[in-house]
Amino acid sequence: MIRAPRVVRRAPRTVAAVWITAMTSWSASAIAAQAGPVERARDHFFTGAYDEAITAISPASRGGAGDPAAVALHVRILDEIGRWDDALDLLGGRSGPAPSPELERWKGDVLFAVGDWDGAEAAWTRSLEANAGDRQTAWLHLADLAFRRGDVGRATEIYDSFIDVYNSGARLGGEDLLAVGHAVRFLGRETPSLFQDALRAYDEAAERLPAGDPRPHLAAGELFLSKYVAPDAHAEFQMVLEQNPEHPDALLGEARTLVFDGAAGAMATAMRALASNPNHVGAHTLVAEMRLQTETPQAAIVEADKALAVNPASLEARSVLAAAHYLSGNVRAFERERDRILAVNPSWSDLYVRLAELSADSRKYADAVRFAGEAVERDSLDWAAWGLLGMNQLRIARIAEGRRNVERAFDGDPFNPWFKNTLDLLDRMDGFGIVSSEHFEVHLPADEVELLGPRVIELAEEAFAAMSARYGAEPPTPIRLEMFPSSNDFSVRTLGVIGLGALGVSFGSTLVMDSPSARDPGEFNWASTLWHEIAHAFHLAISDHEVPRWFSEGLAVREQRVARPAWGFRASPDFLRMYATGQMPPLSRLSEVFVRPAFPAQIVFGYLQGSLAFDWIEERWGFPVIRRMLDGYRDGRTTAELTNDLLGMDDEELDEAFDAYMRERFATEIAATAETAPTTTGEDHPLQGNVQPTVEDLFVGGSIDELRARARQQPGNFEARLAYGYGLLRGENWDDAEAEFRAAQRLFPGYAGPNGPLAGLAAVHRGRGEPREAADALRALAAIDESAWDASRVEAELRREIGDADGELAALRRGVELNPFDLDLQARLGELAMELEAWDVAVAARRAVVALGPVDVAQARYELARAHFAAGEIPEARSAVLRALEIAPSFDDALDLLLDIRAAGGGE
Amino acid sequence: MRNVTIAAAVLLAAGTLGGPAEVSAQETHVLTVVGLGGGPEYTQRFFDWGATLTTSAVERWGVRPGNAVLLTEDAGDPAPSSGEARREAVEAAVRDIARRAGPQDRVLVVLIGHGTFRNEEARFNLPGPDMTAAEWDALLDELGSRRVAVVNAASASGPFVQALAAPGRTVIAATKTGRQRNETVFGEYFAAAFEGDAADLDKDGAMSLLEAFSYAASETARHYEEEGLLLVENAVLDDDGDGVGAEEPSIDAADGSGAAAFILVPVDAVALAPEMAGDSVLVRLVGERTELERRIAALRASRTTMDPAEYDRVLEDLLVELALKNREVERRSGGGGP
Repeated sequence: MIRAPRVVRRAPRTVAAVWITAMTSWSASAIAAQAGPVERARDHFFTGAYDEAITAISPASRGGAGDPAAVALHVRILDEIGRWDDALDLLGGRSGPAPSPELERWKGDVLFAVGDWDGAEAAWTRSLEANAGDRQTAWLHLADLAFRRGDVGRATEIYDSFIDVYNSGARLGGEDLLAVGHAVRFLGRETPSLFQDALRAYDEAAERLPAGDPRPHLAAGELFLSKYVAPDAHAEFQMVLEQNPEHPDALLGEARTLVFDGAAGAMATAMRALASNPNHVGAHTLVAEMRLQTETPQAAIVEADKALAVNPASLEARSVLAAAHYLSGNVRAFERERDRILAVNPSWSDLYVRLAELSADSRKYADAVRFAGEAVERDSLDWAAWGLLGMNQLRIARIAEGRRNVERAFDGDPFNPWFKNTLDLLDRMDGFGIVSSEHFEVHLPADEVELLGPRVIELAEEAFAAMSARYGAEPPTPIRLEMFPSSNDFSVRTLGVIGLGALGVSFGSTLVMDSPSARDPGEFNWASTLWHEIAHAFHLAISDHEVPRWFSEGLAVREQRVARPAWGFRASPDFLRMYATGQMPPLSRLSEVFVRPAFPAQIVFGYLQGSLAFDWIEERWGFPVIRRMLDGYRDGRTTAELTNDLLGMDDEELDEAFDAYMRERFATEIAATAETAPTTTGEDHPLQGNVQPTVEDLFVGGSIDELRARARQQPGNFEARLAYGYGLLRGENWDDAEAEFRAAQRLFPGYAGPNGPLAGLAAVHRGRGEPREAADALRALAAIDESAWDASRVEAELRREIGDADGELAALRRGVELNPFDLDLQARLGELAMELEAWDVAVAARRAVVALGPVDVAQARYELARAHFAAGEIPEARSAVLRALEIAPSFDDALDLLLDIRAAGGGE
Repeated sequence: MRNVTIAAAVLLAAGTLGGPAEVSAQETHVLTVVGLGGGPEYTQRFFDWGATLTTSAVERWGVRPGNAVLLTEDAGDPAPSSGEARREAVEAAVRDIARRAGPQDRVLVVLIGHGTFRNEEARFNLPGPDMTAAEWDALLDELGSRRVAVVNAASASGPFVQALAAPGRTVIAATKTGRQRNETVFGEYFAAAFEGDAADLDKDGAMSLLEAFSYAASETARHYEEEGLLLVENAVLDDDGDGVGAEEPSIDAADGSGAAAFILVPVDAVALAPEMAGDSVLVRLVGERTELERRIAALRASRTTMDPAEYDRVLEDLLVELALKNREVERRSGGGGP
């Protein structure tokens, strides 16, 4: 099935062209502005010179008694910067009619902005009754109000009438066209093709409004953002900001676009909007939402309260306030705010959509399902809610329901790429195979089941047993594990879109991750990743999904290291430089880096820093304290409360103590890396953990003489010694290179990045014809680098060269663990294991060879049968040899083996 | 020893059961043409592939030395090269086969080197003037109705399939289309298929063209995967003369059945005679074994209609019988065994 997503696109007459026209004519009007105060004020207004605009318009507006057009512009200026009291002064105060019927619409707008819905309704009604010039806008706003009050039928009826307005053939003004666009955008909920018409209306409005009026672009930007076309939304907002860099609505739109894209700068942009308009309810609300995402609900409450102080009737702000109370565990306050919202509008699904989104952000997927279900109950046309419902059902393994609801959402909103991608992926997953065990249900691509299934199950059960014993608790089972052969598919399964840089995700008892086939050998260690995700399943279950992100991530990395010392992120020079120079937040604020990292690598560093914190805590207080902290989160306690009670420290003491631990533990490494500027702080880190500088980075601009001079000047500098070592290596100066590598190794013993001292030492030994020493160096590297596939592969060759069969077997086993798809390694491992009578290893390797689809299938199955037979697995041996002989009935060796199997009692 | 008994089985299969294998006093002629390398690296590489194929045909599979001809880029190339691969020499070699070969003989022509495809015309690059696909077709027509297989392992060789397709002719190309212009590795693996036993996929001791193709195609794909390259070589095989090559031919398909029967093993009745002559017991045993193999093949064909456990039980019984029969044959023919 191919789904064609719709995309809101402009008609051939592009907005850019319209804007250029507008700018050109606006420049002309600037010249003409000398003619009147309204034009002059408008020009100032459109460029953000609000004070000048007010100065220019005041003589004409005359405190509200002037020309209605001048008063209207004056009100509009004040409205944009949030000076509503001043605006109301111009409009005759809060109560009573406006000085002119032509101003009633504006009076309604201002009253609505400060939460006086009844007053607004009365003013808009007076505009209609007086047949004012902009009555269509008043009519539209009455529809908006009806919708906010939950009278969807009335709202729809009014919005629908705008189609007749547009189709009447009358030449509509810019204001009317804006109203038409807004109305048909609403109607797009039921008829998606109308979104395109809304865009057309905005374009036409731009042509008819005074040149430079930003509103059509703001409206188009909002429309694009609502239809997930962030680049076009950004372009619209930027066009406004080029003219008025501090336009509050454009800044808010841009901030929301940044949030949509997960890009940095959203908070700063929202703050700029608030600087322009300190009373901007939308900006306060967005800031509050962002505070919730950083798991700081109290700060969110403060911000939402600011919005509500301006506009107590804002359903959006109150929804965020309710959500903040919910997430902070204040059930009574949540219910109070919820009830206030629903008393105004029982159909207000937005409250539940926000709760569902925030719940999902907080990894409370069951809650997200519950809230999204509530949202669709209240508004069956809320496609975002249907999508949230379905996507979160998929996350908690309610696959059939989830798929059905995402399909429903996509039917209603065919613009949504998340829904489309997810449905396409589900279609592909229909072809997946399933392997099950006591605690797991593993979903794999059909052609990977035979190869990966047994090992994945074995490892997963090992992890389950280890963590069940360690934590004294179990997550709900079966745990559903999905492994994807494409990182894009994994990303879509997780977020609905491609681009997620992670390797795995835990939704609780649903885990999704890259299959080892998704990336090149040596890019990641799938087994380590799987262990990490299973650890999350335990943490989420024990804490009832209340554990903070930094805690769970750090502890999961710690679990990797507990399981296998080589696993998990390791401190790199970049990390230590960032840490030592204060560019990583203290422990008490570590959650920030997971939501809004200051630089891309900061997320990875957050995992690492968190894991080091658990090294420290477990070392100093013991694991039971960590376990009690998980219980504490489940009971609604905060990190500060828990550390205070269980570690005996407040935030400040905790941060200081951990910092002291870090500086002591890594004293040598920090000193050895302090003098070099970070090389990889910002861009292009396709993989978590791959953040160390390469030797090529170190060599930049360095001749051997320069490298030597630098190493001599900075003998305690890790990178200087390492770079000089590689310089010497290139010149085949083995002995001196060895000295430099050994020095570098002493300065940073745990360096596991590419081209480190151990790799250099291996190269030195190979250059000198010392295969045993080279192999030893590579083994040492594999002991600290969880992804050292190539090192293991080469070590195996070296071990074979020197006849170290046991060493070769160990290296091969590491190699195939990292890259099960390497046919040569698997075949050699099978052969060697047979020689060493390591039957279980031989069986696994030969089973893998069969699964990899070798050219000579009969031979591969025969060899598997031999391994089974040697291992005493007679039924398996019989089955394998029959499969071999089925292909090659004349296969002498296999026929002989079959007779042997029969003799051993394996016949039917 | 196994080769001899297998050959005997093949002889019986053809003589008494009408099986697919082609037997009689047939000979196989292998003409390998190594074209222009364009540089020392390729020249050497292509020579090595051609030499491997020619030597293996003679030493491993028993093709008579005089029937295995290798033409290479340079007249001064060492053995097994027997001359320069100029157009005239190629034409002469084909005509010589046409003159010497019996009507039942098989002819395998293998082209190793570079090819081009321009202006809708595919060529194989030779020292001196190249030969177009149409020219090759005309030349091969001189072999008459003999069983002919052509393997063009060069780049841009895909169009040769359509150009050379004919009834009774198997055509293999290293690339599916003429647009696949990068240098190929299919030829390396095709030659390697004849070197050892790895490509004898059904372990019957005989090397069919289908097995060599399957081996080479799989190893080519693996090569690209291991190098982290996009697979640009998609070898194809056409058996049925329709000019459309299959990427996955099989013994049961229109494209593949002919190649499966094109076996390089020298099935020489005269050579077998000393072992079979006058030994009616051996003849009977081989016949019984062949019957068992036929029953196994029939069982396989009905697999999807049977209960899996029952299928395995019957299969195992037949295979055990076959194994025991095998031992009898080997003992009788002097091969010893348990």
